[in-house]
Order: sequence, then C-alpha cells, then structure tokens
Amino acid sequence: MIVGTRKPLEEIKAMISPYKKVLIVGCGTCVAVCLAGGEKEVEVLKNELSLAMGDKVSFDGVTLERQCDKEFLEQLSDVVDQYDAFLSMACGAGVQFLSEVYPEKPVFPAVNTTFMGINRAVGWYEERCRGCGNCVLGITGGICPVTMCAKSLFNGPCGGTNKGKCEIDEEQPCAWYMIYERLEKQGRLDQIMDVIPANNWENQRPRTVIQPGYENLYNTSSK
Amino acid sequence: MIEININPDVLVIGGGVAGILATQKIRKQGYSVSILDQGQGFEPDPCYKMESASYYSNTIQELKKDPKVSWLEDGQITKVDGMLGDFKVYVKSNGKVERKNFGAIVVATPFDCIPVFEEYGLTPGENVFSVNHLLELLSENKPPTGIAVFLTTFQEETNPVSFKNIVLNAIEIGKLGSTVYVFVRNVKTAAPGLEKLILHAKNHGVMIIKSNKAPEVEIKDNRPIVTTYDPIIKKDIEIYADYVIIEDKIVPNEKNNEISELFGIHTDSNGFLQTNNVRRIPVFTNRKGIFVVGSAANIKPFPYILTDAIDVSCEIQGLLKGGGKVEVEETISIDQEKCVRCLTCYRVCPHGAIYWDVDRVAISSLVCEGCGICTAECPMNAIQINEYSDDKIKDELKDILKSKGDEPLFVAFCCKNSAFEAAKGAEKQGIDLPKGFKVIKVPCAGKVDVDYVLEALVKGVDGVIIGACYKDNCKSEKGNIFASYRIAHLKDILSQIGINPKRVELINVASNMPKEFGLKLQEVSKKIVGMGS
Ligand code: SF4
Ligand code: SF4
Ligand code: SF4
Ligand code: SF4
Repeated sequence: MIVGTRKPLEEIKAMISPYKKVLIVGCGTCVAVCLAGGEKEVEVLKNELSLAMGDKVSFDGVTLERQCDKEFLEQLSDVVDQYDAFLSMACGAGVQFLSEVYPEKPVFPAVNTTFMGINRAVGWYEERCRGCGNCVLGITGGICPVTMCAKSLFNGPCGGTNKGKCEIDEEQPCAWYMIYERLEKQGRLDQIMDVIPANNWENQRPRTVIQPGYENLYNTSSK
Repeated sequence: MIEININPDVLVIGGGVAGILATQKIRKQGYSVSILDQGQGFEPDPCYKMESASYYSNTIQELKKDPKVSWLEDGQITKVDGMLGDFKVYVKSNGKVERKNFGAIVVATPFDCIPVFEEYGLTPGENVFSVNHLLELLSENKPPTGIAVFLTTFQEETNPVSFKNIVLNAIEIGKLGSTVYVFVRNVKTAAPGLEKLILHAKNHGVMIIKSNKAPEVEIKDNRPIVTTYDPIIKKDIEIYADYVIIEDKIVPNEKNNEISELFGIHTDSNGFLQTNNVRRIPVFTNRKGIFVVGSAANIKPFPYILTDAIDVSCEIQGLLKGGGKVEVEETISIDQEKCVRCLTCYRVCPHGAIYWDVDRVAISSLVCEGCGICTAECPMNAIQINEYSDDKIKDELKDILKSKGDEPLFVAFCCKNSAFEAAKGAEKQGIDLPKGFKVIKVPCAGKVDVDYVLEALVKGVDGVIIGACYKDNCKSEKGNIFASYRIAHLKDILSQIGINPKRVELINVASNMPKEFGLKLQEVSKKIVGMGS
C-alpha cells in the first residue's frame, strides 16, 4: 500500500489560513489502512483545526472511497461551490487528481506521502519498494536492493559492507548481506553471481500502465 | 424479488417536430411530460417546415392547453444520475440549477441546418441564398419572384428529407409566380410520397434538370448566370437567373455530443444518437428507459417521425406501466464480500446498469441486459448472473469433457443472439459440423471469460471457438469487441507458453447464417486437427 504520515498542524494551518471555508477530503483506501487519512483522521484534523483556528475558518469533512478514481471524486461535484479550498488527506496521487478534476479550487495536502510499504504491526509501516519499473526480486531472494541498499546497487555489495551492516549506519543492515543470506538458505547462492543490467530508471519520468488485454481498447501498446 | 419504485413522469428533449410529436403521443398514454428546449425554441425543424407547419402549430396549441405538459424553455442539462424508473436530471435555466425526476427520457433533438455556400464556391448575397433563408422570406411574406435556380446534391449525396424540402419550396415559389429550375445530380425518391410529389412538381412547371457536373454560377451585373451541360439535349445551357438557392446541409444537433456524454448513450459515426445497430431499431438506445426519436436518431422523412413517436409512447407504456411499485426478479448480483470497488464493472457496462449505492457497487436487475461483460471483466469474480453463473458454465464444460472420445473435442461458446441460433439451425438443417463439436450457450460473446477458455484447454479440449455477432451488431454494442480484445490477449498468452494460438478462434456470425457457421467451424477444426495433439 501507499503509506503516508499526517503533516504537522502548523504547516496545514499556514496553507489554509487565507480561506474561509475548507473541505477536508479523506481517502478510504491506502491512507485509511495506514491510519493517516481515513474517516477518523478527517474528523480528528477537523476538530484540531477548529480548536486551533476558532471561527476564522470553518471546516467540513468527507471521506471518499478513493481519490485516485475520477468517479469517486465526482461525488463532490454538488458541493465544490460551497468551499474556498480543499484539504486532501490522500497520497500525492490523490491530491493531484482532486486538483485536476476541480482545477478552479486550491487543493492542499494534509499528508506527506512517504512510500510503498508493508504493515509490520498496528501503526508500524516499513518501506519495501520504490517502483523502479523493472523488478529484480526474482534473483535477489525477494529483497529489494533499490529500497534496502543505501546506494540502490543492483550488483552489490559495495566495499562499505561491514559485518552485515551498512557503512552509513550501524543500525542499518546491508541489503546485499541480507540477499546473500537469503539465497544461501534457499540453496541458490550461485545466483548472486548473475549480473543485473543497469536499470533505465523509468521512475524518473511519469509512467502510464495499460494492462495487456486492454491495449486494443486504447489503441496503444502496454508500458 | 426486489421492489422498485417507478416514477411515471417523462422528459422529452427537443422542441422540434420530433419532440412535439413524441410529447403528444406519450401524453395520449396518460404520462405527464416535461418538454425541454435547449435554446433553439419551439419551432419545427426548417427541413420539415413546409410539410409540417400546420400539423406542428395545431399540436403545440393542443399541448399548451394540457396541464400535464410542462415547458422547460431554454434549459441546459448539467448532470444526469440514476436509471430507468428514477432518472435525476439537473437542468440549468435562468442561472439556476434544478433537479427533476423522471421515469423515462426521450431524446428528440432537432436537426441543425448549415449553409454550404463555400462548397459550391459561392458567397451568399441578395441573389444567392439558402433554402433556410427562402423559408424566412416566405414566412415574412416577401417571396422572391423571377427566375429561380435551386442547386442540390452536387457536393454531397444529401438525402430524401432535404430533397423533398427543396421540391416543396420549388412548388411554393412557382405558385407565387417564379419560374423554377432545380439542378440536381441525383434525384432522391426514398421517402413516402416523394416520387408522386416530384411528378406533381414537374406537372406544375418546376423544371428538374439532372446533370453530372455542378453547374457554374457567375454573377454579372448583379445577376447570377447558371451554366451547365444538359445530358439530354447534349448541350450547354445557360440560365439568366434572378436568384440561386442552395441546399442546406442537415446535420445532427450540436448538443448531441453533450447529451451522449451526459446520458451515456452511444452515437453513430455521424453524431446521431443511435448506433447503426439493427438491435436498436426503431427507438432504442444502449440504455433502457432512454429513447431516441426522429431527428435525434437519424435523417428520417416526416411520416417516420410520427411512427417513431407512436413507437416510443408504446415502449414507455411497456416499461413504466403507469408508474408506482414494481417487483423485479434479481437476475444478477454482486458478492459484496468479494467486491473491492475497483469500478471496472461500472466502467465497462454498456447499458448503464451499475451504480454506486452509498458505499457499495450495485447492479439494477431492472436495467441489466444480462450481457455478462462485467462478470468477465471483474477482477474478483464477484458478479454472477443467475442463469449463466461461472459454476453453471464450468459444470457444462465438465459434462462435455466426460463425453470426450477419440475424436478431437471442440467447444464453442456461442452468443445466444447469433452463433447459438446459427448452431441450432445448422443442426436442424443437417449441415456438416466437425465431429466432437459441442456448444455452450452464453448471453453474449462478452461473457466469455479468458479463464473459461484456458480451463477448457487445460482440461483437454482441443479447440475453443467463440461465436460472436458481427461488428456493430452486438446487442450490447461492445460484447463482441471485448471478446476480440480478450481473444487477442489470450492468443499472446498461448504463444508465450508454446501452444498454437490457432486453437482458439473468434468467429463472427449472424443467427441466420447456419451454413456459413458450419463452413467457418470446419475451417478452424481442420487447422487444429492438422496440429496433432
Ligand atoms: S488516492 Fe492514494 S491513498 Fe487514496 S487510494 Fe489512491 S493511491 Fe491510495
Ligand atoms: S526492484 Fe524495483 S520494483 Fe522490485 S521491489 Fe525494488 S524498487 Fe520495487
Ligand atoms: S468489477 Fe468486481 S470488484 Fe470491481 S467494483 Fe465491480 S464487482 Fe467490485
Ligand atoms: S451483465 Fe451486462 S448489462 Fe448487466 S450489469 Fe453486467 S455489463 Fe451491465
């Protein structure tokens, strides 16, 4: 899922202080699951802001199923006119789409989009993937070198590996050490000698995905 | 059984001939009608004005006295929600948006008429004008007199409606003292009474001259001189006219695209609000409860608009049945535990049967046409059509597999609207079908899940055929298209795993083509048999 964290109140206050009536828009999927922008967080933020700002600004809250689908965003069409600005609690994708669908309204993010990750325990999330577009987990024992290695080395480790730790921090395990151990345990250590060709870093430009089977629908090829 | 409340009010969009006639006929069935004009005014469409003006004004007078007709003048539709029995239409007029509820909607947008001077290389002026302008002059009681030349069908084929309008105008100005020529490349006769009218015009002095080449018009001393070659007397002729009248081009209403978007109804390639699909004739659209009549659907001669109006009133009676509560059998359902609300079903349903109900995705059994496109596209297999559930289809497949003998086994998933009937016909007529050929009936080719085909191949079927309707002939408009996408994708998958992709073929066929179906099957099966196991 996409993981985010609530922005500090002061930062949010500063963004919305020029407005009179603000709609806080929660998102019921990823950011709700990671406890940053669901219905409850919308209520909490609304009350926090009301307490902090008195009646200078008035707030309403609503939580959509998702902010990354137009159909759900259009559910706001009847009420947009009643507000001067939106405060979105979705991830950056949701904030942008909300702004694209209602381009005449200022939209502000109330959440910092942090990463794609996993839920370790309640309220505890860890990053696992950076969406590099060319997944190599098949030969790295299911451990992502892009995310876990400080230098995102595809063919590691580097000379800084130190008794299982990364040179940048004694607390940080070396990704390639972990990869070595995992592959060894699985009896496929020989794979560590496979050279992974350089990634063309597709995540450096905005990408579009069209699933196979839908290529003809949009008259394009997938990528 | 589910109980649904049906609103008995009807919205008619368009104040032209089609809108007024539809309103009149629907009122006769007892339904209240709101008639919306989108700023073009309550006027007959110019191309029908000559033949329908009195009929139109009588009808409008009659409707004006009717308290159950509401007139929504100069309104713009901003949003449409809901479905058959409960449409919610937001209409903006005088700067205010108001929501109105209707059980059914009739789209009757009038034609737009555009002048085509440029196409004829002419500029409009005192002596050169359009048929539309002539109509204006006539209604102002300022008919032009002298020698008149009409030009039509030289730039485009046009149509009988436009031609009839010209002939009527020619007769009229002839009566008022003009000498009238109609220059035409092709005379149009395909409208009721049109041949008779042309004869009548000729008998009353209108000279209709056919020529293959557009006449040349030269303005000299403020007088148009029209020159052309007359293929009958085999000579160039020259007419010193007093005025030249150019046909108008009849085009779909400029609001049609907007309406298509707002209401989710498909257009044809010209922009009329009914696709060229036999299954939509006469007044249907892809959405139940939304109808098209007359000028909104196509270029139709005036008498056919009357038939459309009567048809639509009967269809509305059949659907709304006076309004109130109706019991509907649940034919399709979503397993809410499985649904992840991805909206795929909502986006692919060609009939607008899927909606968002507070916090869940829901399907109206009243509106659903049972095509099964959504069931095959749902990533969670959360949707099941009772009559054609995944389990039922897979059971059928299992039974077929039990019968597998030494011969190769072919399974054809056949659309009930086309291939299934063709297969039945082939059997009855004793047409030679491949041995080991078995049919599974599906509601539409769009129901055939990639998973069905793969499972069949895995379990030992030698070849799979998907029998679909021809292009533009699918009852659900897109079922055959979705099927073709899936088969193309499936063939890719098969090639990648080293299985000959020719084991799976999509065949387009119509219900009345059993022989062709048999031949196509033989062709596919021969290839597969040749492949070995
Ligand atoms: S908007 Fe962002 S947080 Fe919300 S569902 Fe979409 S991806 Fe997840
Ligand atoms: S290799 Fe790339 S896609 Fe795979 S987990 Fe790492 S960042 Fe994500
Ligand atoms: S396609 Fe399936 S999972 Fe997606 S919204 Fe529809 S029923 Fe739910
Ligand atoms: S079966 Fe067809 S008509 Fe019915 S909901 Fe699914 S896609 Fe729409």
